[in-house]
Amino acid sequence: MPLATKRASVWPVVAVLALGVALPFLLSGGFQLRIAMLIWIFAILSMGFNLLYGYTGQISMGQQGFYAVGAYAFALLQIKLGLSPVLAFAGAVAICAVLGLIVAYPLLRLRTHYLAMATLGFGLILNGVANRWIDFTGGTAGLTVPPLTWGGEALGRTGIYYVVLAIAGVVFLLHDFIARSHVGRALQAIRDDETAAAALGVPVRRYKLRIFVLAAAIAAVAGCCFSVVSLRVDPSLGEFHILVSMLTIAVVGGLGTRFGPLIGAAIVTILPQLLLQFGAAETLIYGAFIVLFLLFIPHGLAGLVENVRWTRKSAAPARTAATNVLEVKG
Amino acid sequence: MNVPLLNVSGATRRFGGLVAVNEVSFEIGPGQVCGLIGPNGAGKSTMFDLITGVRPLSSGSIHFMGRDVTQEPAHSRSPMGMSRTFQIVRLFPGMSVLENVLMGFQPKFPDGVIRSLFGIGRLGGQERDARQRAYEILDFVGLADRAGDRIDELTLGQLRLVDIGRAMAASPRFLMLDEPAAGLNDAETNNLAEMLARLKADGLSMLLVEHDIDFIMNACDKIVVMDRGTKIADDIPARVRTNDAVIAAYIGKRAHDAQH
Amino acid sequence: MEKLSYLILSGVTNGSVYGLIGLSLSIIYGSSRVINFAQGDFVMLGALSAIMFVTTFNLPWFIAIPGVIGVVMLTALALNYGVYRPMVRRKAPPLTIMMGTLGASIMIYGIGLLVWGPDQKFVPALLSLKPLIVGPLITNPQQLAIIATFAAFLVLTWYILYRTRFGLSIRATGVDPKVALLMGIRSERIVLFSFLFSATVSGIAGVLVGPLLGGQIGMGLMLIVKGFLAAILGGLGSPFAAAAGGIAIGMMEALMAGYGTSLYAEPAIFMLILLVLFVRPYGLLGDYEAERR
Repeated sequence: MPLATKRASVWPVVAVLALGVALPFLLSGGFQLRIAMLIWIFAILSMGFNLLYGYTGQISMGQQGFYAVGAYAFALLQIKLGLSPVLAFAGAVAICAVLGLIVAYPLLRLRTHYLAMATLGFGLILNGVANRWIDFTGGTAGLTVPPLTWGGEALGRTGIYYVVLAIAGVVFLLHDFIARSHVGRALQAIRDDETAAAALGVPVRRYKLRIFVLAAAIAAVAGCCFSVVSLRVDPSLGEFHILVSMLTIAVVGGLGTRFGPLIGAAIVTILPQLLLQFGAAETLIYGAFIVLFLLFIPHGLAGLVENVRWTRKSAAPARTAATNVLEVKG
Repeated sequence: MNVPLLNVSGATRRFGGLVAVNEVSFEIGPGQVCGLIGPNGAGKSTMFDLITGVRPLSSGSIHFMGRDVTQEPAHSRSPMGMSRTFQIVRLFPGMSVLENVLMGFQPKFPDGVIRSLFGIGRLGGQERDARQRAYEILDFVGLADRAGDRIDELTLGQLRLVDIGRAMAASPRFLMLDEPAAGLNDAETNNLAEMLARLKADGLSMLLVEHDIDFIMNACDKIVVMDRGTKIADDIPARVRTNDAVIAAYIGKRAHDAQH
Repeated sequence: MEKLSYLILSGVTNGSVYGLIGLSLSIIYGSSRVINFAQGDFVMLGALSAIMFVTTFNLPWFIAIPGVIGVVMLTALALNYGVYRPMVRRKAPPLTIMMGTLGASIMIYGIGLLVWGPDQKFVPALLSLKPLIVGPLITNPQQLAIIATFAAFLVLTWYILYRTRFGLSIRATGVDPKVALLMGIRSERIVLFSFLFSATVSGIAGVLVGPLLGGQIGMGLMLIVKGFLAAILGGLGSPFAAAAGGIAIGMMEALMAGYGTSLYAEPAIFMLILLVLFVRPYGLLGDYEAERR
């Protein structure tokens, strides 16, 4: 029986998370642990984008905006309202979800490049606000985030790592649950053909709205995690380079795959550390990655593994090419 | 007791000044197979879109099993038991054959992420049952061995069978087929006709929009003929064949075409 | 009154640049159904390579301008042959091709970063920036040159599209590439021309607007968004509607910044455009797209 007919198993995800738990014992030094935390944070951010664009086909180029709003809200709720980190976290995620709902309602009437540009405009506006509304956001200097404490003492680096891992684990399991279940199928159906999806009983508009809000909330989760790790939020969180990193992760890892966001995040975070001369050329290399992967490995690195079943199939002798018939008709 | 399965009454659809469907009324009884034919531009496709909910009616109404579905969006018709196929096959290219059929079960699963998470305990069983049923359906249409294939590896005839299988997965009371025989060769058409006969024997009601007159004459209990947006005949196949208005519409059309 | 006329002039000036980008986007979209995300980067390349030729190499303008056009045309060639064409041949959907042009845009930005660094640079003015009083208006030759160039490119585009055989093929390709192919029109050649022409338009816009905006490698991003907003405000289907949309956006921006605060100018424009999109999804002036559906 071919692989594709069996339901995908949750165990690979559990194995990866177990590796995540063991990681602090395998790594030497705080710097490597910090890299590991950044990988999880970027993986979280990209999972939201993957659900929205990779699975549902609805592009959002404003994810970095939600990421920044989440981080700022997390900091401001603690600083201005004196909320505990847990409440501030919940509040930040809720704020982004509501903001996501408010913008999704009109934006999701748009499609493809209209949606891309409108969401990008939304992201740029949020970034402008972060830079210019100095009284509230601290301007370009940003804000200091109070460190996480446990029993009256500041949490150590390993402790923070486990907090990030726990949150990333929940998001990862949720992402994977959606990807493997009938919900993921419905999302892919919307991506492939909205009319056909609707004919099969998928409430297309409602699903798009839900996933947009979910992706916004997930971006906020990533933003909160980042401010926990860096203890500082500033407008660079909502800037173009975050979007570039996220897109590179998505394309290199593999759009619409279960492990793409994590694989992509690992590569995009680790690669600059390995290549000494990376610094100035980083943006150029990311851009080249996006172009080359779109051209030659369109399903990304994860796609190479997850779609083995199909590449093996296509090696079989070609049958009557149905696609040709369809194209003439289309 | 005598409620028809589908009741179309005074259905009208205008596009700007053009009336594509004009005051069309007909009924389809339980277990009946109804054909919808007409020369090019008769309004068949628009009529089909109105019944499937792809386009709203300008006026008139559509009842399904006694219930007014005129205002229902396309996506809520499948859960009610109205399933459809597409003329230009619209399967999901990102999925395998089996996953395409599984999409037909969508209304039976919990709606949305949160509800699914609450029902996570039962979800595994539901998924297993759906896969089991999907295999049975693929077996029924003769494609069980292709379950794991990508859909671009299939022939057009096979794609249509997957499309019908996907529509059947929703356990419809009423199946709407949009030119199912278009583009098929003789063997594939015969295979399709034989399959539709089996579905009819199981008591499934159907609406067939079709160009292939022989195909439709053999498959249907009754035939609705449209010309230029209006219904010109509504009768059993044998009488439609000899109906003057129908012959005039087709021959007039042909004569008209011949002049060009 | 003086403030108003000043604001209107600066609005028309910036609007001309947005309009030229909108026009460029519309031309490429018309022939290829793709939004070229790197269009704003052509403006950036125009401004920054003007610095390179004029300030760094100390060349006179009559050499520098062909040089700038050479730079943007080479970039457009690379974009067409390196990204657009291979992706079309792989049957990538339009949104994926847009992702490809976005990748290219990031590459151009990355190259710009290596060549010019991240700081804002002073772009030498082709014409004088000295105030010039024309009746009630205070302007300067550079501003007037931008507006004149805008008008000139509009006329040139109109001439090419409606008065040449080649323009007829462009319009045919836009309506239906397959039918155009049957008529013996090579749509790939048309797309190549669209890329080259729109790159030139945007590059020259960059040379002219550089001294007013300042040259910075990130400027392309804001410009592509505003150019796109211009195009959808006017209607993506027509280059002229897109150009008109640009003027409208430039004016709104200037007036809102002048009488309100620049903090709210961008959000306000954004809201307005969303509003337009809901009322007229195909732009205020365009019905071209609507016809196609």
